Amino acid sequence: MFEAVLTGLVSVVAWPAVGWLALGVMIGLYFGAVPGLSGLVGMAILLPFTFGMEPVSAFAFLLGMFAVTTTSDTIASVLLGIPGTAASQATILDGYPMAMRGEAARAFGAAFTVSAVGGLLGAVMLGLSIPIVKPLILSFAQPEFFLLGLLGLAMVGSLSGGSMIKGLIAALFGLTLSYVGYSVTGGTPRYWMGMTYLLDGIPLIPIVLGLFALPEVLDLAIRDSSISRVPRDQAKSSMMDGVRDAARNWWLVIRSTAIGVYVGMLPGLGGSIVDWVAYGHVVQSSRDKSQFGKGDVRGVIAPETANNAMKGGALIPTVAFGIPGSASMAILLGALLIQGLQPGPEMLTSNLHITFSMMWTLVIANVAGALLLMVWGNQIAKVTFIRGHLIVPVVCMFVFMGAWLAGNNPGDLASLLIFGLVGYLMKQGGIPRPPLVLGFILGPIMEDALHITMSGYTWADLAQRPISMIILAGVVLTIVIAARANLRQRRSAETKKFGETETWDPHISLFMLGVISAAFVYALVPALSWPDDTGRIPMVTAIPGIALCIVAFIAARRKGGDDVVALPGNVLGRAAYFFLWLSGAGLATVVAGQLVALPLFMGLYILVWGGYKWWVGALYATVGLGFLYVMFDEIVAVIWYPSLIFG
Amino acid sequence: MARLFKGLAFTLSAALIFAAGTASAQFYKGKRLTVIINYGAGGPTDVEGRLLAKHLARNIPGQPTVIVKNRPGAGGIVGSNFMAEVAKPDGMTIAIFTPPTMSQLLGDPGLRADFSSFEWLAGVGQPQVCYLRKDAGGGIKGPTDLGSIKGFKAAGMRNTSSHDLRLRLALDLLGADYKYVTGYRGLSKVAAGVLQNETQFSCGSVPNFRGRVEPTMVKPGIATTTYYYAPVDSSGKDVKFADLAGIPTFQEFYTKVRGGTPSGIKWDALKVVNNLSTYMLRGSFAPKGTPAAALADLRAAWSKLPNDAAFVAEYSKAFKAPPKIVTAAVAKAHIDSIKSTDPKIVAFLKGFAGTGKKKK
Repeated sequence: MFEAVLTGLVSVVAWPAVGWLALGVMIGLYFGAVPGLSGLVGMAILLPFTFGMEPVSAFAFLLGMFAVTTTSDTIASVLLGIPGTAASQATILDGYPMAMRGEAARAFGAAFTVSAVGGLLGAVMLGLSIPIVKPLILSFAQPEFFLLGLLGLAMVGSLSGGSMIKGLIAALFGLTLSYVGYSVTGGTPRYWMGMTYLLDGIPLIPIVLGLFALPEVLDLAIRDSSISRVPRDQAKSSMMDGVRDAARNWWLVIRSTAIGVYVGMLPGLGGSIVDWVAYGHVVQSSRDKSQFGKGDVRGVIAPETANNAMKGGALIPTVAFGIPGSASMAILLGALLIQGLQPGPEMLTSNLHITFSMMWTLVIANVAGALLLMVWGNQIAKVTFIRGHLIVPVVCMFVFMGAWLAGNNPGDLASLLIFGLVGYLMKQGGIPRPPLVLGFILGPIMEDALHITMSGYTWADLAQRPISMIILAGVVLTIVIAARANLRQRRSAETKKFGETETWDPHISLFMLGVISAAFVYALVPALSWPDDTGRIPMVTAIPGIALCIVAFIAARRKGGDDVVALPGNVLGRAAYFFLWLSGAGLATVVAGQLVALPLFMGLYILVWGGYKWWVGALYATVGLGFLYVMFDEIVAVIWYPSLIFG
Repeated sequence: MARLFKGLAFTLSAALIFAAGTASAQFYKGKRLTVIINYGAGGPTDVEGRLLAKHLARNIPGQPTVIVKNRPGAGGIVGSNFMAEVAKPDGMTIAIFTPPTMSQLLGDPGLRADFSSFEWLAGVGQPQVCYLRKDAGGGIKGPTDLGSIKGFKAAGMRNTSSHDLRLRLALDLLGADYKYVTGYRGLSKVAAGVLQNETQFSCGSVPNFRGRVEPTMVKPGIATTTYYYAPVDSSGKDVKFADLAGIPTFQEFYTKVRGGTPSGIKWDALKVVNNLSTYMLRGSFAPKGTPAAALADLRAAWSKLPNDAAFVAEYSKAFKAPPKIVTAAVAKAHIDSIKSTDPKIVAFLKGFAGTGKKKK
């Protein structure tokens, strides 16, 4: 084994593999940083280039890119409050408040440091665990996946917002949205309203970008200030402060690494919940919880460590058993096949050196990516002090293109705008957004797992699965602990709750609860007449959802604390006006395509909202057009929208 | 005079043929051909499609630049509708799909494309190979115990998929005592379920079997192969594949387990589903109305692939099986057979798949 470790290392650092690794890292940093792009998009684009490469170079290229996306995605999470990858939302809860306090550099310093350490330690832990990996992976089957999904939802529902009830409602709403489209088990299309677009379900990226990105850029546009609410001359922290934070919390880093590796190993599920398990762990294990959700650096350290350590964990089921842990790993599996390699025992025996070359790639890429970002981090952090009107148009461009890349479907633009509105109203109504997204991601996994469990196991079988029982106990414990904490908070004088929003508007809250209740009722009615395998899980979701909404309505009638603040009418008016602008950009896309609509939007925004001179707007639009053409037409080779004018 | 006319006619014909050939050879020169794949990146359709596209490009006269784009969704339906309604018939867009033929056969409401209307270029076939855990039903002595063991679980993906239809039809014909567990998303998840002993029996395409099942289960002795679904010709004989020598066909396996040959509506339905799904596991086509010159070049390129040594070597290395390419005419015939399927078989399959609305 030691020889394989060494051979793997030597092959990765030799030319040309090391050159491909370096190129992969640079591409990965870009894909992780840009909202809407991701490791998955990067893998899909890079895969064809590996045809004809020899194996070590091919995997150095792919994995070099893949390893660093969860390092650079911290940039969007911290600066803009937009999750860089759909599941890495936990970082936003504390990272974004840190940026608003002028501490973006400190957040970066901590995040990049622990990303490197997490990736490195994770690979070491994994290498040492290879003997026990097989029984560990094989003992997690569908019953365990369902319960782990439940655990993830319970954690995020209770941690991401002040009101646990609203958090659970959001999670159930996310689950319900995931049922749109074909039921895999029944073959019956659900809630598709006769639109083929909805037959495969609502796509994830437009939902995430709409829910998170649009409300934040709207906020920037309305406030007409920078991301940081603290002026630059008063912002005292630096990246080195973050590095020192990481060193001080070394024991948390090790625990989060272990969470990342072993939870990340769980095929299909691990990547979705690893951030939340790590975040939930740090909150529950900390004595002083008062700053979580308001900019506690530990709320950045835990998830950022875990989501880098997870990469190595996800590799093993893919390579050793041919079970891809995620969509990105499915592409890696494809790459294995193209190279003529077979996943399975050979990758842990005769091809062990190739497996170790992959692990060394993850290690080197993690460290190199983090170091590069450390060099640029201070400069990147200065974006928080730039006037918001200069940031909004370029972010909108990335958001629109990110949503379009998801499926090249006009419906994706509509989904983006609709969920943008939903996200804004949820934020203002104090209903946390992360549980909705996690529910949406976990919905299909949990439905499949539940169906297979109910058709393949008896109650007696389930009772004999100790891991299932332990996870179930964890779910109950999470809910009980969170409920007690909620009750204690309500009784105490401290009414400022941690989580997504510190204040919320009661009228908007009631309105959104009404909308969500209506969605549950809409989901429940047809489900009553569907076959069991199609209607079961929508019913199991909608009924508790309706019940919780009733409880939330009753709770909302009590007098609110000082966190209940009605939104001023002019702010709502400006928000509506901004959405009109976004809709205009969407309409212009239909008429003239993105290459005309987006630069036009950007230029006009600079003139009208920013109040800048015409040549500034023209320059902004021209640079935007150039970027769109080079990046999306020439490099990504996107299918542009077939507009009315240009076809 | 007659000789003069003959000479002129010959010269004119030769000139026309030459001109047509030249125009054809120039059709794709300097152009960009977009290949649409109807499943997501990294999956088996995508990997195979990209490999096919790469080698196709070398064989098309004029050697266009080929760009591959994914249009996944709804079991391949989204891409199909795109090719029918949006893709321009200018020769610049073709499809390499796993065509959702069961959706057309069973009348899926979401499918608006009519596969018979497309200009077919080729089909790529692969049979499915089935496997059984050796500890199923308390332990088996040999594969034929599949017909006698009690209470094993068979893994599927979706009850309207050709995978699940074949799985259930075959096991029912064998009289096997099994429980059908469906909902696994993709063949790799199906194989994972068997590896974890959550289920004990399933099937996969040859690339899936050779690339994943064989190394992780068959070679280590956890599972054994049982049979593969060979297409059946009009005389009722199996069309066997040389690379699967040593594995019995379903008919051969049936004879060992039950004696005689299979018959009845389930056997007829299995033949229909299997022939279509095996010969046309992948298919390539262009939108209706694509110029004849473009079609000629594309079909000629496809016909060269089976003899392209570099392509065969790379395909065989990746998928552990030689490519099985059928011509445009054969592909079209298979696709057209969907509409001429016996209505009794279609009605049976719809009921069997449970696609009719059933109240509890």
